[in-house]
Amino acid sequence: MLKLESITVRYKDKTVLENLSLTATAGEIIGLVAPNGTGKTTLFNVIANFLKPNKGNVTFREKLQYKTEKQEIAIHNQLATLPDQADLFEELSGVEHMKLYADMWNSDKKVEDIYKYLQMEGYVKKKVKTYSLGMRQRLCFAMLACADTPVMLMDEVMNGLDVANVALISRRLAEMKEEGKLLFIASHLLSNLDLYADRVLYLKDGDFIHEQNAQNKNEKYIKLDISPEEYEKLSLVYSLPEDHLYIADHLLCIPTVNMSKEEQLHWMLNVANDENKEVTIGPLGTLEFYEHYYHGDAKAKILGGE
Amino acid sequence: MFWKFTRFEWKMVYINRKSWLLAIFLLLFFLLYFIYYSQEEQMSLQDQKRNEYQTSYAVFYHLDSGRHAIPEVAEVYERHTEIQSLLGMQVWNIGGGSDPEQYVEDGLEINQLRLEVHDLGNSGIPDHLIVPREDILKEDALLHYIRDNDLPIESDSFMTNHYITNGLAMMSGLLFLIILLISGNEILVYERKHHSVLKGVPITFIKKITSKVFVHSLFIFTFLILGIAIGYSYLSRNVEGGGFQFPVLMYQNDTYVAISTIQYLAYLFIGFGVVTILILLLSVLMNMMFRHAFANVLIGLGIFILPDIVRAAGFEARFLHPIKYIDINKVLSGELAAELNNPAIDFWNAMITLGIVSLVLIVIIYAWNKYTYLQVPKNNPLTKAF
Repeated sequence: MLKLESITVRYKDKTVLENLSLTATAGEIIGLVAPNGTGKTTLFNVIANFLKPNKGNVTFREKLQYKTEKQEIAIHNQLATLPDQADLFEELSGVEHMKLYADMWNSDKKVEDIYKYLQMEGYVKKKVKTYSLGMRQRLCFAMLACADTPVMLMDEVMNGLDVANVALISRRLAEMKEEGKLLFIASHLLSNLDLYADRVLYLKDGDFIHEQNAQNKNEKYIKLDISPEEYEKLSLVYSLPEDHLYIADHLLCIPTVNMSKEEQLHWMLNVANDENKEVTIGPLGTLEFYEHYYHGDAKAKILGGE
Repeated sequence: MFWKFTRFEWKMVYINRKSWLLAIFLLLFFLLYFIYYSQEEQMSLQDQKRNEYQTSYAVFYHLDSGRHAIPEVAEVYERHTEIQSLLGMQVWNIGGGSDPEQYVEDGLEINQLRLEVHDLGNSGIPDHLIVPREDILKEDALLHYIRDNDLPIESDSFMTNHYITNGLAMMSGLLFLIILLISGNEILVYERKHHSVLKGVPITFIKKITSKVFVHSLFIFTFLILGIAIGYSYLSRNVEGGGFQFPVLMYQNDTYVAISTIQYLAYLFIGFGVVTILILLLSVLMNMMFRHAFANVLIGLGIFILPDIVRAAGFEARFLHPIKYIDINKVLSGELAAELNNPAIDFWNAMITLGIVSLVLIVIIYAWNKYTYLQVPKNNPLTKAF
């Protein structure tokens, strides 16, 4: 449905994206993870053609590219981006914002159904200038839901939302996926991404450095929270598997994929007993990968890994 | 899509306080102007004729000394005597005599005699007492119109005309330009404050521009017409006048023709319409170039006074004259043709020129937008401004 080929965005003294490529299909939720200033928003701007890259192409449905205004309109008819809270019109009501998007994208969705679903009835007819941050954020999402395009780009969609609203929007995102939409979601709510993202892409130094698939959730790890000193000691006492991870100077992860039940039990009992720590077992989550790639990555050791 | 975007754009104008300040100004301008103007004593037609009679009488002092020695002066004296007599009759007929038809006939005869005096070289008449040929032709056009349309002329028949034309003359030109420049100063730039909301909206740039120009024009025109209507309703209650059927002079093809006030207003509104579209297109282009609301007003005003600056510097740059055509009232009245010493400047000439300039602006805007799709980034990626 959407293909990025060799996207390069380079300023005089900084390369933001370098030869980045990606193929995305309909009915997929793709999470995008990276610290601030790493190029997430730039990537979204390139996908939406708000920024023309130094190199590379964005191809939509295998034929449309941003070569002419006509093609751009054809793509934009099927692609919408999440507005920023700060860009909303203070003097317009929420309903007026939603109607704008429903009208401009010729959507079949009823504005009323959407604001009821998102529990916005109490304020949606008031002017935006009276809204709190969370209300504004829900409105931004509601606008996108009104546009109802096959492709949606959402940068920090959960920004400023309370737990209940995060759950509400997460549910709606899952429904959108069921409707066959391709959703790109850049978020700092890492554990939330685990709930609905089919893939989570980790962006670093201008390219994707890791792709976390939902299928990988079967790959379980024995996880133990230990200090670097304890890790050093443990490494000397036990022969840790080559593909173990020690993440962000605190989390030891030992893969169970090639282990028998007995071996797993051995590690859990011995290591836990020696260090007197609580041991958990499960797949690595977005939070753990994030820490692995961005926090203390200079010290992170990937033995025999990627 | 166009109308949906237009509806949204109308909302943008509606929620903007600046628009409402302009609307209030347009609504009150004519009313306040007419109230102010009505405080001043207006000279009736009878008083004007009485003054003209006295001024004309002074000519005799100069003619009397030369008429026995110079035959041409004697001929002028003879015609001037007739003129003086007819002027006296006009004062009577427009006043106590109450014979408007005769007033008009006498006026036409006076004009004929004055033209003959011109043909005789105005011999014996000092320059300051010569009635200019242009004024004679203007008066002749007015009187012919009144006679041909069988209008019942009275002493204050031209009052409404004076109010309306003076009010619109005040509005035309610099003031109207400022209103348009302020109205259009953010026509495109405001989108940058809301870029994540509006940037991805699937509508072509030209459709978007057309929608914006349409909405701003409609807004200005609605309140301009409402303002004139409010002013006129005040006039019709407080001033005795001849209404819209009385003639106003229009400069056309190097001469003056009399047209009804309603026709004059129609021409003026056509002119205002063309000027509105042109200035709003210029605002779009300046928004694209400078991306700054104040730059629009400052540069717009700078362009308008450019011909005056060039002229003050001693250069005669005729190619800059079309900039002044936006003062439609001056074009219609022939004042601009006289001011710029360019008899070719009349209404249709100005309309064609301003129309061509508008088309050129559209072509530049279109090409500029097209170019953004053809541009290849070199050192830096390219950001789409709108």
